[in-house]
Amino acid sequence: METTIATRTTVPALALAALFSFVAAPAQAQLARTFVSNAIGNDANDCSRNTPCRNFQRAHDNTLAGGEITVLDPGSYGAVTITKSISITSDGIGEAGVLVSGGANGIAILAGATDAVSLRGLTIKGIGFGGGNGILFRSGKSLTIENCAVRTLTRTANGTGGSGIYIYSETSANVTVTNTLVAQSEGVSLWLAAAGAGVTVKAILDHVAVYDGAESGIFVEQGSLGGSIQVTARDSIAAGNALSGFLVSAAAGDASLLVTRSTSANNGGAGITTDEDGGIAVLRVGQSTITGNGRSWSSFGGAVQSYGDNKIVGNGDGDPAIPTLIARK
Amino acid sequence: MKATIAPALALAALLSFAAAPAEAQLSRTFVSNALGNDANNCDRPTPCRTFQRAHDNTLAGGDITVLDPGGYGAVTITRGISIINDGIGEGGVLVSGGATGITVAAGSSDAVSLRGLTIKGIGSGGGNGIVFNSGKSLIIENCAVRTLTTIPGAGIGIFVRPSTSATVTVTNTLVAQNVGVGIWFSVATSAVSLNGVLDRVAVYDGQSSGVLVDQESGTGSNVQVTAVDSIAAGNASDGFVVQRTGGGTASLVLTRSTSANNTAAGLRVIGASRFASLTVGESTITGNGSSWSSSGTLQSYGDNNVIANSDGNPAIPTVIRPK
Repeated sequence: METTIATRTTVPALALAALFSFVAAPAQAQLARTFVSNAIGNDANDCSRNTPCRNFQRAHDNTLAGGEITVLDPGSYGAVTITKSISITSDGIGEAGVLVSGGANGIAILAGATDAVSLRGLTIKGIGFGGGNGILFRSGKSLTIENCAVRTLTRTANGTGGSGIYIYSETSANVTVTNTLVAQSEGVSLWLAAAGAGVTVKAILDHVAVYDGAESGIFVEQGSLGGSIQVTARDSIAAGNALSGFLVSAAAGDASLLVTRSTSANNGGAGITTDEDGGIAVLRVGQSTITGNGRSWSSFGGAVQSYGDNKIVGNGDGDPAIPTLIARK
Repeated sequence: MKATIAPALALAALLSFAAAPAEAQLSRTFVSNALGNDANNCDRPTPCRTFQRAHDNTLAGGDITVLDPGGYGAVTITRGISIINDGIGEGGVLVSGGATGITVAAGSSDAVSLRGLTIKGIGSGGGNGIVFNSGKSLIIENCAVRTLTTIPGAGIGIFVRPSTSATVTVTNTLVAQNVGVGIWFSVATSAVSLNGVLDRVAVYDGQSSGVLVDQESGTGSNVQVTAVDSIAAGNASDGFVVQRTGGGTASLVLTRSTSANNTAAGLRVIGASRFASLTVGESTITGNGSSWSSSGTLQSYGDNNVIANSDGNPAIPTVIRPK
């Protein structure tokens, strides 16, 4: 009897002690808020305010799930792979940058199916040397990207990468991009997709501007593995891209995009377009301006629908009306 | 033997040159008014003092980061590069002596970005704020361009006149109190296409026109601009102008924007109707000397607020329908 009690109490106590010693080790103590500094950071530090770390990855690894990384000063903080709920926040302290090269990703999110991730005030820039993507989302529950700029991502020699923001989620997720610029990408500038059957990704684009890419601007694509991608874009712009401004495509599953109060201008291909080859692709547009594009709109399968209140003028195809109108209510 | 020694010496000389710290270009460079020095290599611990020195020491495709508030001098950009100030305080450039604050003379495939900069003319001989001569794309975000003063042909806030086909975007930017045109889109030669976007751009209180879309040079050149959520107000000439005097086309599509309190016309189109066009919708035109004037194509979506201009607010005769 006594032996049994001793055994039962001793083992948990030892385990608890071991846990405490692990948590208490200075290099291992995760914090709710960590700090990064280009000026004085050092990755041998614990990332507290007085002894900040140098890179996002070290800070991420030393931040508790649900915690936050605060940027202290302007500079370059390196690529990071996010695997838990966390926010990385730079609020007007100067450029908080990540340079991308060598086929890597600037910020990759591979979080758990219940994790919430936020990125605010970051600048991601491709510098050539082997391509890469700016922000890649593979899993998580929700992602918000605010006040960010993603520029000049380049492709690899074999044509992969080069996207500014690439949402390709294996978990059902909500994704929001707001007040963010994606510019001068070699690949699709802003690409949204669910990664397979049973996955539903819902996205909001608000005050997002996608400029001067060498591919399409905003591409809502449901690939051959199926799944559902549903995107609403408002007060956003796709301009100066070499192919389409807004593009919806579904090889399987369904892909839909609602474009309101937005602008598609000066794109080499169509201002708005759908492509359907086995799935269901729908693009609805209202209160928007479509001008200066190679074509105003096109549909290679799927549905382009208008609220009848768009300004479609000055495109290379003579501005045909969108035949399918939907009523405002 | 001699033949091998000479290349070896040359190689040694080359290596020592490449290894000289002052010459090693970086992907990211830093400028600081507080502690920068142009004798430095512009890395984070030893930032440079001026944009030009940082530009010269930044790899093509790289980035210049502003570390603290101050004046960073005029710069001529000749490669794909970005200059970024994200709320660290004023990242300033003063302009005088007929010079230009920021000149972009980049290659025809180069992408250039400017973010968070303040360019200000201080008289003393005039000059222009930002001039785009060549490049593939230029994006101007969150900038302010003020009080440029004139010598003949100058005093312009943002002067876009490329010799290469290009896209130029100005967003969330103020252009104010300049002696010349606020924002001037044009082309420098034949067979060049310029596509412009203005998004949340405000052009205030200039002594010339606010926004000028001007195809004035070369045959087969086109200048095509889309403006949304923008405003031209208080300018001593016109608010928004489309002008075609060269051998190409000039067009402006103006949406959800305002032209107010300009001394002459709120909207003006100059040139034959096939080649000069201005389309306006969901916009407000008020308080101008005249609401509009056109010798080209001026068309309205019929949903504009045209009121309290000195000419009695005549309707724009050509109305087109939304789709």
